[in-house]
Amino acid sequence: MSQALVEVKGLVKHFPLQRRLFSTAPVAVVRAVDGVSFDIRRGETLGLVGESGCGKSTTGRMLLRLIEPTSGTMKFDGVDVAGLGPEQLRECRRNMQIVFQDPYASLNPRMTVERTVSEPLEVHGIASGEEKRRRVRELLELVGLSSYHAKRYPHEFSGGQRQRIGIARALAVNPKFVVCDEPVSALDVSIQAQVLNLLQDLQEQLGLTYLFISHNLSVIEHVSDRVAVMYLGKIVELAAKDDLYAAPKHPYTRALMSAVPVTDREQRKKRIMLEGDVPSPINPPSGCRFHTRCSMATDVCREQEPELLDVGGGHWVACHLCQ
Amino acid sequence: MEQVVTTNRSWARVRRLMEKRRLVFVGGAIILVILLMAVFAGVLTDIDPNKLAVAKRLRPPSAEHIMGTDEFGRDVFSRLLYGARLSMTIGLSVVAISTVFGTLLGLVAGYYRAADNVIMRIMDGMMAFPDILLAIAMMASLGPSVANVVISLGTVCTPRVARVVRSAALTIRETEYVEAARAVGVRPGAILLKHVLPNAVSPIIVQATFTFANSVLAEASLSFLGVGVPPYVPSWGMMLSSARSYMVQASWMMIWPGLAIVVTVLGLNLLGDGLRDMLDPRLRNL
Repeated sequence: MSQALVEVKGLVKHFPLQRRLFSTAPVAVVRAVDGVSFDIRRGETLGLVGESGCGKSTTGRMLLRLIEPTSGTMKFDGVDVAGLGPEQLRECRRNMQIVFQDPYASLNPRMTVERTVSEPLEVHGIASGEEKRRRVRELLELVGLSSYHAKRYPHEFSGGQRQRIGIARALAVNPKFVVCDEPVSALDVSIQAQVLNLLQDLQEQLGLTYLFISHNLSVIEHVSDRVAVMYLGKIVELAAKDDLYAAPKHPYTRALMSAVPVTDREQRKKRIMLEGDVPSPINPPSGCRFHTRCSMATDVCREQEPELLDVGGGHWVACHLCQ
Repeated sequence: MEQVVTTNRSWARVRRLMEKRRLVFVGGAIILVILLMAVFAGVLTDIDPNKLAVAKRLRPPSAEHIMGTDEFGRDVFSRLLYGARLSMTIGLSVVAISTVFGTLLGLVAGYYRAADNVIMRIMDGMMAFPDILLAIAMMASLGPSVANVVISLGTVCTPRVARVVRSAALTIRETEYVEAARAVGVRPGAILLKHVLPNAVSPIIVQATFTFANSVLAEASLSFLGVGVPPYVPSWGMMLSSARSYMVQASWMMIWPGLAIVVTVLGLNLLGDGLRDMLDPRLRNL
C-alpha cells in the first residue's frame, strides 16, 4: 500500500472550440489543464488554489471523470481511473465523491432531501427500506441537520444547510476521497467557517482525503496540509502549507500572497502588483507561462518551459530562477 | 377513531387547497362538465344530430331547438353534444401521442449529443412543412377517419413538443445536480427519468394544453377542407366552418360551437397551469 491515495501524472484537458462550417483551419483548443502532476496522500488535504479560469475545477472534475481527460493518467488506490469502463467506473465512484460550489444548483429542486441523500445508497445497492431510512437519518445528523429535515425540499433550506445536504449526499457511499470544489465560496462568511469546520471534523472522524479547490488563500491555509498553486493550466508551486505560506518561491505565488488584503499600511506598500491580464489559454505564452507578467523574467523564461522540480524538503517549484 | 381524525385532516387539506387554487378547480370543473356532456349526449337530448329537416332550416333558438337549427334543419344543441365526443377524443388522443413521442425524442436528443443531430434534423424537416399541409398530405394517403385524423395531427404536433423538451433537457443536463448524479454513479437512463424529466415538466404541460387547443382547431380546418372526419360526423370545427356562410342570417350556428371551443380551451389552460404549479415543490405550499 503506497502512501499516495491519488496519483496524477501529466493530466491534460483541451476543450476544442467550435469549428466553422466548411473551414479547413485546424480547430483551436482551450488548454484548460495542460500537463498537471501531483499526488494526494492518504488522509491529507491538498489545497488547489489559483485565480478564475486557471483550470482548478476542471482538474478536480477530471479526477472523478466527470470531464474526460484528453490525456494523462490518474491512479486511485493503484487503479488507473482513466482506463476504466462504464461499469468499473460506477463501482469506483463509491470511493470518490464531490461537493459542489453552488448549493442552490447542486440539489435537484424536485427531490426531497431524503431522496437526494438516499439515491447513492440505491444506486450502489448499499441499503434499502428501513435500513436506508435509518442511514439517511444518520447522515443528516452527521452533517448537523435533523432527521425531520428529510421530508423537505431543497428550497426550504438556507445556503449553508443546502451545502450540508450536498455533503451528506457525497458521504452516503462512504467514500475515501472527496473533491471539494469551492464548497464555501457561495456562502456567507459567517457560514463559511461552520462548513469548513464540519468538513474538517468529518475528515477526522471518517479518515477522508480531500482535494480542496478554492480561490481563497485564507480558506486554503485553514484547511490544507499541502497546497498546489495553479496558473493557466499548470501547477507552478506545490509545497507543505507552512512552507508555502512562510516562504513562497514562485513569483506568481508571491504576487498572489501579497494580494491578500492586509490592514497594515507598511505591509500594503510592499504589495507586488501584477501588470496586465492572464493570457488566453487558447494561445498561452511560450516558455514559462508567467513570463509575460513576471518582473524577473529572463530570456530562458521566454524560451524554455520550466519543469516542476523539488527544490528541497518536498517544495516543488516550476521556475527557472529558483532552480 | 384515528381513521376519522386523518380523514378530517385530509378533507381540511382538500378544502384549503381548493381555496388557494380556485382556478385549477374551475378549470377541472369545466373539463369535467364537457366530458360528461360528451359521455351522456344521448341522455341530455333525444334529437338525432343527423336528422335532416329542410323545412325547419336556420331556425333561431326555440323551446324545441334550444340552440336553433343549421342549414339542413339539424339541431345545433344535439350536434354540439355529440361534437364534444369527437373534439375531446381527438384533442386528448393528439395530446397523448404528441406528448409521449415528443418528450421521448426531446429527452434523448437533448441528453445524448450524438442522437441530437439525427433526431432534430428529422423534426426540422417535419416542421419545414406548413402544419396543415402535412396533415392534409397524411390524410390524403390514409383516408378520412377519426383514427387517421388523430394519427396525422399527432405526427404534426410531435416536433414542436420535441423541440421544447430538447431545449429544457439541454439546460438541465448541464446543471450541477445532474453532474452530482453522475458522480454518484446513477445510470444515464435513470438520470433522464429521475432528474431531467421531472424538471422539464412545466414546459411539457404548457405545450400539452397548447396542443389540445390547436388540435381541436386543426380538426376543424381539416373537416372544412373536406379531408377530416367524414362529413356526417358532428364536430365543433365542422359546425363552425359551415356556419361561416350563414353568419349574418343565423348567428347561433356560429356562436355555440365557437363558445364551446373557447370554454374548453380556457378550462384546459387553467387546469394545465394549476397542475404545473402543483407539481412544483417550490410553489406547492404558497
